[in-house]
Amino acid sequence: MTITEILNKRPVILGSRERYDLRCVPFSTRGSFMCIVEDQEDRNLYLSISRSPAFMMERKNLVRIVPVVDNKEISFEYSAEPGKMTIKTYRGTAEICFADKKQIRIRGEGISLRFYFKMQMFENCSPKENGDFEIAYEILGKLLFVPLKGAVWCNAKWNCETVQAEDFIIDLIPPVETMRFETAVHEYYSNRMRDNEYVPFDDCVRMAEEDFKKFCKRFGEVPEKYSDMALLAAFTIWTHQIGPEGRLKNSLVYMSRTSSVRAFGYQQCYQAMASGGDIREAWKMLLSMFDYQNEAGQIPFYVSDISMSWLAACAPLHGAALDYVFNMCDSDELKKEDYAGLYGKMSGYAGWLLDKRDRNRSGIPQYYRADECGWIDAKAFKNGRPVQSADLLALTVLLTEYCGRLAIMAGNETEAGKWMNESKRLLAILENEFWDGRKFVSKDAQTGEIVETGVTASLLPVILGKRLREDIVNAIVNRLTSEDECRKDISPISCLLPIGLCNAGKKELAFIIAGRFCDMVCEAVENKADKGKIENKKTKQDFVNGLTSEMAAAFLITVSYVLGEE
Amino acid sequence: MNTFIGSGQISDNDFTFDIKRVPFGRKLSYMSIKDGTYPDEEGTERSQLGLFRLPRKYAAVERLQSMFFPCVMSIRPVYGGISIPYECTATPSMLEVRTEYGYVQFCFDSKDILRIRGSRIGLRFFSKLNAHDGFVSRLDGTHQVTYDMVGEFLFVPVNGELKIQGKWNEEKSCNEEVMLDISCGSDEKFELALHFSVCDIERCPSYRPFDECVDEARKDYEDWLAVYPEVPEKYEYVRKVAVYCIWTCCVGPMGLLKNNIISYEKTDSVFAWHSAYHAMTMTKDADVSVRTMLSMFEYQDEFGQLPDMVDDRFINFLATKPPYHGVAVLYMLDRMGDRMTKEHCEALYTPLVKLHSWWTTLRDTDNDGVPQYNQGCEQSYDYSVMFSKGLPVESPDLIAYIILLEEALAKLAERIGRTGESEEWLNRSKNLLDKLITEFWNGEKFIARMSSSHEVIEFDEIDAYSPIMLGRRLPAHITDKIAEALSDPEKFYTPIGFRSVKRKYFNGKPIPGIITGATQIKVVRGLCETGKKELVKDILTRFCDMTLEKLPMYRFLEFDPPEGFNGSILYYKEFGVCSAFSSVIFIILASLLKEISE
Repeated sequence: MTITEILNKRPVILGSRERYDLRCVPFSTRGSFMCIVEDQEDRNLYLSISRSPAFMMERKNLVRIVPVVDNKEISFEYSAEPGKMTIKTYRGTAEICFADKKQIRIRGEGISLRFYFKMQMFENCSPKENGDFEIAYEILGKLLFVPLKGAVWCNAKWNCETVQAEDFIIDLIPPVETMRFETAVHEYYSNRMRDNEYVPFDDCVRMAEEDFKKFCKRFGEVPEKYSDMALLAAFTIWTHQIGPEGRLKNSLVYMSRTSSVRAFGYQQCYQAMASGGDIREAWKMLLSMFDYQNEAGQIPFYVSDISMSWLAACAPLHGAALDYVFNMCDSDELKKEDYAGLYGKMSGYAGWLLDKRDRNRSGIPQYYRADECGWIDAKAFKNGRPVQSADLLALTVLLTEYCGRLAIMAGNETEAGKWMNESKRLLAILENEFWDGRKFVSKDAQTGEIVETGVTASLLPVILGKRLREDIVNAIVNRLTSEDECRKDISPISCLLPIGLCNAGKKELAFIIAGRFCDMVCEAVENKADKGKIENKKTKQDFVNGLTSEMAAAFLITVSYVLGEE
Repeated sequence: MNTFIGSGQISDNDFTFDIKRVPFGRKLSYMSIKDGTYPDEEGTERSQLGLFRLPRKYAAVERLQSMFFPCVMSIRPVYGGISIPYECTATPSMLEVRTEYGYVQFCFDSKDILRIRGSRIGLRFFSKLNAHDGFVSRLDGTHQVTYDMVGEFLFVPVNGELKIQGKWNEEKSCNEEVMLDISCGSDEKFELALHFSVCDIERCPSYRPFDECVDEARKDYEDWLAVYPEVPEKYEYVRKVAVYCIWTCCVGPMGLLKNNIISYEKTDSVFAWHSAYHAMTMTKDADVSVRTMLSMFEYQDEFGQLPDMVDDRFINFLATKPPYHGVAVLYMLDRMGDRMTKEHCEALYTPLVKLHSWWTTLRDTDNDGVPQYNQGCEQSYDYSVMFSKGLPVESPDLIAYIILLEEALAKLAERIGRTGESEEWLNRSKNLLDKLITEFWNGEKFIARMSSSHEVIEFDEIDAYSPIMLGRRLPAHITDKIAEALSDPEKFYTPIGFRSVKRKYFNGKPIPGIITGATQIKVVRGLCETGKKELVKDILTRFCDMTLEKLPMYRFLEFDPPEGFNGSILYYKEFGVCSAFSSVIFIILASLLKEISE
């Protein structure tokens, strides 16, 4: 089935009584910084702004949202579709949608909706003359509450001694006659006034739905068994695509809206691979990080609208991604200029990597820190020395090979030869120096000692498929079928395993591994508790893992192997 | 008594300063070094040097471990593996750390490289790391320490031996500390180049001679010093220190900062209105003055607002600062006359018109022609009680700033040939002045009022009197009353300057006045203009005298607070010590003192 077909059958993706809820992925829309999340521990709903100045600096539970009747909080359930979210109570409902990426629209009937604001020093709320209220946060930006029907009631008070607004509430109150309220909430960074016109709520919902359906055309078909998860994965990727704004020159896919609120370079490669249904979109994703490429050829470790880091190298997944994309997609649409364009940028990056991640001229590329390879055991970097690793070699074999292929497609034969030779050289090193007869290894780049980097790193070179010697492939197949450790790994990079196995002719094992991975993802993210109502007190918890866009893409890539397609 | 060994390169006649109060840095660079008490690898606090780099660390819900580490790295001299006592002497271009066994020198080689050389002793660097920070020896002789929030430090041992060591945290699976030791080679010398960058960088193939870097920095400082006005002789040393502090806070382009700009202090961001103060002190060179005034306007948004703060990583629009720019421009026009060309005036006109437009639209939500502040930080005195009844507040000091801004725009418009507009600005200015006098003067002082309801807010802070900045534009009966209040020790007068808040008592004992340079600036010129020169001369002399001992600071206290008194942090902590802002205010006040003494 296609994602759109799944959506037409089951429009509700998340809900308190559904298989998945807002603890795993927030409700939002493409390009928006606002989202609505459910907290794992207190099970409340929060309005959140997806901005984070540095790692582990987030204010996820920014504004608590709760329905209110006669000044008392009441219990509720919720459900979310791509176009809108509904909060249901015994007295009435509230609906939330995104009018555009900078505006949330909320309407309700029979109830009020209350927002609890917790302020930090210097933050405040000021009224405008016309009934609007502006709330200003440090780093996160500003919100403007605009009453369209009914009133916005606010009890914010500035405290001269603590130099901030005290914690306050905003109530969205319906007029007595109609009992229907509608409010717009704008998100912006410096200044804003209310709009002259507001598009009708239902039109906003429809536009968001259409945008989502259009977005989903880039994803392939999925088997019925995994259709719920596939729909959730598509929704996750759609809501995590942010930009251009601030330091984002283009659209990138953030890893998470609530915890790692930034776009990592190497993860855009997964997004390209997941977009196998539309070569243009896949190509755009592959090119996306290169918009930030510096003169030396380096591309950033991560980017967000308010931050950019160059302090770790972007893991070189581009070759693997291209290998997959060319296999999956019909590339007739692409022209010589497209190949030349990507070649210029990718070769600059490959050149940087082979130079600046091999400063002792060993001829073998190195990882400098754990962040450069999210799937490696960080302990390998304990001594502060670079690590040569089989998985990095495998990825650079593909990176350089595809620099070569792109060069050919761009009509640049000389350069192509150079890259192809480099690829062969790296492959020889991988097989001769990093295979111990039983598995692939990693080494301390200075002493040559073997360092432990974990199961995934040692299996990853299977992505090379038929390029590897048969005995190596067979040994990997053996490990995957017999070793327990190999079955447990759920890191997104494992999506490369079924791809490699398939390429090496081991289709059956590829299907088994793919199925196993998909099952593990579904289980991790699912709401397993009794589908009880959410009440305004702490309930017994079952922990739900958040679904990152990285995992979502890995799922969509892997699920196609379960269908038996190549 | 121990004799400490030095290089002999710094003589007693040289201009030197104490880096316990004055950070050692260089124009354009983001790095600085201070002498203080910082944590070491044993977990104890000890006397060490601290390496700092902009910018401010923003508040976050989860406090990271390294955020409690007060500097980026702590540095101390070692001999035979043992930490040894030291003393520091700094000139604008070189820092020398002397010990019993040998010495170490620091200088800046262009903006991103700190050069360090030592004789007979070594140095230990120590730092705490967070999960996404780290260090790596790149196997080409260079060693890299990276901080997610700060950037990369590349250690290049040019001579001598560098050892690097981490402390692994098993649970977090990361190194939570790093320690680097540089020690002398067989020639009993070491030399280290410390690069700062935001991305992976290279060492230099070779490094310029240390002394060449020192000479270059010295000359740069001296060229910068030449732009500044004179002050009375007895403050000449403070002037040199003040100019040095401003010079080091002039940072170069990086990240979001596109051109040179002057930050508040070496460890904080650039504030909305400081460039106006700085421009006032640079009138010896019209290009420099106007360029400095315009430096913050690069970050003005499309509505005309100036962000409260910017640094290389963030532009902070949470609040802003008062539109002091009109005062500054009038001063510049007055000082520079024709040296301010038509081009200069044109460059200033549009951004200032936009600024004015923002204050009179988005900060006049009740549309009554009177601008407002939306919160304490916009006022600049964060704790101001004018906001005790609510927000927004129409405030007399803001009105005065806008009156002067409109006048400045009138003058600029005239200079660039827009006579019609000039007249309009002048009329607006006069109308607003009338409003201020008729609606905001209650017979004794100025009041503030709530926007919309116009409920009167009586408050006893300096800004009920700071419209004295309008000088003779105000009628005599008002300026007389203001002068009276400002001269009254029960109200705002203290021997060392005017206090920010009217005198209060706690348990019968007087609470010391908080005396800020920014407050003096608001009132002294207007007082001079309205016949209170002697009072001003007296106040400024004693205010400047405070800097002889303390050097420029954000605020001075009259005396210690009485026992049991629980006031704001301003009573207990020294802020802005040797900051560029306190320094420029000192220069403005001291040079005014010189003028009125002649």
